[in-house]
Amino acid sequence: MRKILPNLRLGVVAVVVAIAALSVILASCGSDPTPTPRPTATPVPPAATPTALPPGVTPPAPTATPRPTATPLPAPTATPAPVDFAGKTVRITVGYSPGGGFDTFARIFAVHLKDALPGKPSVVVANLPGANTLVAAKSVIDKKYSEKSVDIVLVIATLIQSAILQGIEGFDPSDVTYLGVPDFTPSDQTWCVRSTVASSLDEFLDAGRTFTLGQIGQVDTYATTSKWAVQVGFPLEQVFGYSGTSDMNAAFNRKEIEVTATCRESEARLNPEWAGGFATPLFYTKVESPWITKGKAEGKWPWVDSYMNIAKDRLNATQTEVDAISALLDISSASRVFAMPTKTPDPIILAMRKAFAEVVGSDAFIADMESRGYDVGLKTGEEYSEIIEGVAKLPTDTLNVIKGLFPAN
Amino acid sequence: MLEATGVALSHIASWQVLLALAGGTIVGVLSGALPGGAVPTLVVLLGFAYGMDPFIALPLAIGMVATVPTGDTLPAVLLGMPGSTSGQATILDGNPMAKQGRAGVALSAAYFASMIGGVVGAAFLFATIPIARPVVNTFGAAEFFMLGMVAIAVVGVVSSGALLRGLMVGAIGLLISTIGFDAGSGIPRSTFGIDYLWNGVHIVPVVIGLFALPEFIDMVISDLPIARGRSSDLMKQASSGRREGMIEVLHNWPLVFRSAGLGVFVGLLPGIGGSLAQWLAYASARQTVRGGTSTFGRGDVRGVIAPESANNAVDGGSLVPTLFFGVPGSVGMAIFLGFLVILGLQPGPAMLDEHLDLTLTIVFALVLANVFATSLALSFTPWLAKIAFVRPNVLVPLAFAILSLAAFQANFQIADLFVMLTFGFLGFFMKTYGWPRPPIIIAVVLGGIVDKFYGIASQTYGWGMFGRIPVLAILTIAIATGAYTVYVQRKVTRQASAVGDVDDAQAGAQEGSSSASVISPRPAAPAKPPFTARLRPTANGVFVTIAGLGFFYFFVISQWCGSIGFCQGNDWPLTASRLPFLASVAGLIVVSLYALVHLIQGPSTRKQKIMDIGRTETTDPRSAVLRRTAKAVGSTIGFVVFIWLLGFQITIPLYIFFYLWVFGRTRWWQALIGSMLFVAVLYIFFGNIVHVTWPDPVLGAIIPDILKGE
Repeated sequence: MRKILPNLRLGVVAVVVAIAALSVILASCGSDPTPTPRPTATPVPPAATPTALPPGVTPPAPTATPRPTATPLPAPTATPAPVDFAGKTVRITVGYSPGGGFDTFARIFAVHLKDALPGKPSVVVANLPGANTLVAAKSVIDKKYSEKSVDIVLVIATLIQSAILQGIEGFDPSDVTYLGVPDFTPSDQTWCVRSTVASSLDEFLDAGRTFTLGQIGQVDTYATTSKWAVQVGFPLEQVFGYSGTSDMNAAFNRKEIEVTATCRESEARLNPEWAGGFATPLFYTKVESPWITKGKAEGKWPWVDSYMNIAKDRLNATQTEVDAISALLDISSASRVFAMPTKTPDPIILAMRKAFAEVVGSDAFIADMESRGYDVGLKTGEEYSEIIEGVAKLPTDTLNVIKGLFPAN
Repeated sequence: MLEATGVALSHIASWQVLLALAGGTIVGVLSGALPGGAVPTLVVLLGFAYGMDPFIALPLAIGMVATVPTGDTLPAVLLGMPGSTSGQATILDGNPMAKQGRAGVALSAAYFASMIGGVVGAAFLFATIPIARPVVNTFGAAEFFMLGMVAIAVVGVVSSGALLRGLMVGAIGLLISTIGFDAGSGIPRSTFGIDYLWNGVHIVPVVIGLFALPEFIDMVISDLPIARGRSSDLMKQASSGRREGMIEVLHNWPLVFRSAGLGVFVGLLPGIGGSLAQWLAYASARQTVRGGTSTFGRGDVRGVIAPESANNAVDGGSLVPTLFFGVPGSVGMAIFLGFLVILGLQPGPAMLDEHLDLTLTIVFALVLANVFATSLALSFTPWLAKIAFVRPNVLVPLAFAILSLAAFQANFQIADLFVMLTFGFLGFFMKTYGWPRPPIIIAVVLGGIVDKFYGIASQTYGWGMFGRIPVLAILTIAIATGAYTVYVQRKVTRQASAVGDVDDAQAGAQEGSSSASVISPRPAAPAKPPFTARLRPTANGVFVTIAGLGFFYFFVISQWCGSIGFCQGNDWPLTASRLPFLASVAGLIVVSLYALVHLIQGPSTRKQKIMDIGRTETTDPRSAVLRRTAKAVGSTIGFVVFIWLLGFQITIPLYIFFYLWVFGRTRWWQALIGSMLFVAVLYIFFGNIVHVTWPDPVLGAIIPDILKGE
């Protein structure tokens, strides 16, 4: 009996597997896996032109003009239909690992979003890291709509910029329904040099050598804005490989790099020694940080200005170059972009956008985020779509300068 | 500081805080004991952080984060798989001890050493508070690079007995570490257009594949439990083993403190990661303790004590850059940092003045958590050791299901399972044919670190990096350790020669720890085979050929990627090609040397005396062994393929049920209970608490949403 039993069980398993396999085959023949189409038909521009190149992630754009981005949105003036989210689960998929800046931002945002949505649904955060949020974006954008859950994906703005300017295989930013951007603030990125190597802008520009500048990678805002600075003649040598803003701050403090592009207000608060004389501010992108304004009022650092002005006045940068960086700064004034699958019904999108705007505009959210060092500034989904569309209207020369700030591959 | 200490002590002594700390510790130990359990548990913690009282939340979090390295000892010792990334080196001696029926000694020594390491780490954190920022600022990219290089030299140490093979697989590991998007150059390296590979090959499925999967396949083939002998004697042995393990730790106190110091130092360096500490501690112990070169890797308790002291001490060190600079050194610390932010605490100078009382609370919580965790784990050691006697056909399906979930958490993609499977079969080959496995892990972990910091250091310091005092200090210590090793080895060899033709291992064992395992004498060298036999294809030959082709591919790609029509017409810049070039050239040289040695000496018929216990020998008939091999391999591949087709929620419960019922010969209701347990874990824990994004199965369109956890 002991010998027969296992064989008998194996036989049962074989029968079950055979039946299951048969059912699967039959079901595959009979089922229609095509998802339900969106209630509102919206024209979608053609997908990225396939290239003969080997499968790469970022093939170069075929023309100088980026693809125009259609906005698959409901009319901005439409009155949102009342939607009750009770019993639904709103799922925010974050394209980075747990614990990072994006993840913590999303978790705090989730707490506020729950209160802003009618019916107080469960708002949960899930992580799907990979390829600079591309994996998360791809997994959510084409997801079919389910009555029980509402999907949101949080992606990094540079992914969308790369997709518009260079094209990314399998990801079309025009296929995305933008919910909004919660951290759209005019860029206050600021460059400081260690005071022991240069104590003024003149010393820095006339040193006759380059200064090492800490960077993370080639496709973030630090890198593109700094690459522009290098291209127009600022004596900087980009040193890549740091893991984030804090890491670059630490490298600057331990005198490993000579210049850091991180000394905006929030970071200066965390590194009080900078204002105490360790660092000399050189220039900023668009907005002057309060700690520098305060210093200037005390008679310190009178040269600090937007680097676009300095580049024009001292380095003979062309107007095209200045226009290009100005445009890039406009589209990169946000880092966190919330989006939804295109198949989400319009009433849900409208209700989510309304709640999104309510949250980002609320005093409680602003206080929560600012106390944690996060920027807050609302751009609605419609506004963000318009910004992206605006890129397509830039002159070709300007666009070429912008494209040159991104890596070739 | 005195005032803040008083505030922190009064908080930590309150019952609410102690309760939170105890709760966190229990969860931390348990999540460490379940492979892959640590990260999802910490993610759950993140979900509850908002609005919590920091004085209660922080001890809770510390209890969960700091005790994972204590809990992860259990699977490392008993099952030969790390519970988390900090349990890798413990496997090398802990698992052989379990197989020798000494699991109780290994576990208790590990737990006790972990506690001391943790307390040393906390003491360091406390002592460093006033000088934290200048201390961390002493070390920069040049020092990180040099430390990484010293750690890579550990490959040579763990390749003992098969140096060429170790170097070859080390080179393979370095090349694996280069796969992915290179941030510095902005190009994807060897990703073949696959999004999954953008973030590189994650270490967790690699470790699980290389170490755990081969053990399970071997268990199924041999049909023998982890430990042999009568289970009725287990409780008695484990109980006495508990005392013995603690005595071993006390007996080796200099090793414990030295390893803990090393752990603190590595933890202190932001961005280096804790897994380096255990390997450095292990290698340093093997090279410096008496007889270590002969007995490590075969069940020497000191090979457990050293990494365990180090990996618990890491937390004390790594809290310094995490709290005061906001730069985490490990996944656990990254989540802890996020936890701080959600609580409303900004890492930085404020933690040293405005929130000093909270920082000190963390210090005291760290001490108590380590003491709690060790007490908890020690009290359960005899029962935990019982796992070693569970029948393979019951243990394997449960463990394999857990492993697949652990591997999946690397990127939450099905591809994680295929990576695990690939490395699993590679690991099984290596285990069978005497190829050392640790060098791959070390190289994968360190390749990226060394490459990154060399890039930064060469740009910022130039050649001057080698003149920096901390760099010279690291180099001096490494050279001194190497010199001491040579001295000790020569001494042992001389003594061995003096007593006749005995194996150096025996000499080492006589000299070394009281509990060093008995090593069999080295067999006499076999006669050299004829030349024609040397040209005959062998499994090793095929492997070396494939490796050689792989090295050649990377060599060509690193230099002429664009020129040959790949990489969209652009060659890799120097920063991207440096490591792949060096590793592939090194690999090609080693392959050539290996082939040369093979042709001159012929294939070795003697079993390599490497730091691995190899396959379990069995006297069962060949047909039975073949049948079991087919079962092990078939069920493993089938399991992953069915997950790909049907998803986790359907495959895992069915797999557990049928495997236990058919192969495990359990009663149907027992199999059903096992199956339902996993249903609960999948739907409740992963689905509704952690909110895992399950991948869409291939046949997802025909599977009802309810079965997909939606």
